[in-house]
Amino acid sequence: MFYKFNNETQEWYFGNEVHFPDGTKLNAENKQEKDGWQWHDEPPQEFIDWQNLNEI
Amino acid sequence: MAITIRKTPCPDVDLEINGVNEGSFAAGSTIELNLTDGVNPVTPDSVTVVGNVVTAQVPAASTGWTRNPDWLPLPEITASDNRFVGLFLVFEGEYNQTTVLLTSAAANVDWGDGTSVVSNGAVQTKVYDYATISSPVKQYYDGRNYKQVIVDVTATGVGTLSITIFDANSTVNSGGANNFVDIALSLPNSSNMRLSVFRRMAILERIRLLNIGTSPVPVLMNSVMLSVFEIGATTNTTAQSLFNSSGCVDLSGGLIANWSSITQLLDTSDVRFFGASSFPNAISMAFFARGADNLISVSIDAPSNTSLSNAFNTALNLRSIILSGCGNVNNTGNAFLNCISLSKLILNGMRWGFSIAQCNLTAQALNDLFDSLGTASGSQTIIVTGNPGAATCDTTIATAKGFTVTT
Repeated sequence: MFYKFNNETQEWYFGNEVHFPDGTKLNAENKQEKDGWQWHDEPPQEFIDWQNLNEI
Repeated sequence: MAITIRKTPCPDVDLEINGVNEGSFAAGSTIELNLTDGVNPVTPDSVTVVGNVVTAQVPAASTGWTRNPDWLPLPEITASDNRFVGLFLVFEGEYNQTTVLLTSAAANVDWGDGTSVVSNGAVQTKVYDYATISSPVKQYYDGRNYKQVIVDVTATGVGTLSITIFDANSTVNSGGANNFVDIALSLPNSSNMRLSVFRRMAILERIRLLNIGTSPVPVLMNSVMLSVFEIGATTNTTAQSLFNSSGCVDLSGGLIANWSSITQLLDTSDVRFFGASSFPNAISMAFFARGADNLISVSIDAPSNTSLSNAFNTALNLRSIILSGCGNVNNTGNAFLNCISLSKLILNGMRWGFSIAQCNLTAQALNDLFDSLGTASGSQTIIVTGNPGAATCDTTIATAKGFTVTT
């Protein structure tokens, strides 16, 4: 899955696919880094910590 | 409710209601269907006949507040009046006191029990005598007997009528016994209307502020029974935290106000129904309805708004958000975090990215959302990961407007 941390809002973004305005599509077949999006096979610990913090 | 009438071999007719046989009726007799709620008649939304099946559509359960039918009606007042009216319950065997402070303008205070007083700036205190009140005895929800009076305060001269109603002006029961249940007021010239009893008027169910002039918008509405709050013209600039932590549940009439900030307006409130509202001058909706667990839907026009930061964070029951005039928004951090019930989101003109991860939008709802957006303000990202329609929505609607979309 792709992950990206938004420093401005202190939010984690994540998703299976990332669709860009230029037509680029990141997914399991295209795991390149782009605009801060990074592929991780397992969720980063910082993401898990953020999720736990916001758990309802 | 489906009623099936079946003719049996003998001349009698069998009656089934929702598949249950309710007996047999003689040929030529009349079957009278009588719908009630246990006490009052209930009119079906429709009655249809198809073959031998008569279907009566029972109305859906009422979701809004209903004024107690036992209560005396309040006199009608308008936004140009200088007047306060309130229905006060006088309980049997209890100390029933209210206090009214009027300033500036001469006013007549009709206590509703046959007594009245003319006031000009003095504190007026009334202790009711249950035995002398002529209205019929009614029973409160908890079984207590009560009678009713309508307090009617009317300006009698030229000037500014301001009013303060508070619990008591003495050491006697200074913390309560203010049994107003329904209030309406219009004080267009007032700059200091205060209803400090909001905090302690425990059984107040409805308040209508038709006109409060330049008075501060009251805050700390913790009346646990409060169900309806209406506010008309006001020149105040902010209503921050107006319903913060309040017990008010019904704002189905909506709000229209020129407030510059509506930050935390419904923050952690119990508000369930919030009608279409307009805040043309509000520049921030930050924390607008954070943690408002009961809230079902909002439809708000706020064209000056710049911030949705945490606006609906953890509004767990919120199913529909329609925001008009989002073109100036530049902060959406955690705006929809944990909106797990959200199935409709329209952000007209939105140019800033946002996350609705793990919400409940179908592909069609996501497409409708994308349709509502404006052109992205630079590099902006929309996160729809975890929505039921994420995998099948048409992301090109949003990417064509310059947004990056994560599914």
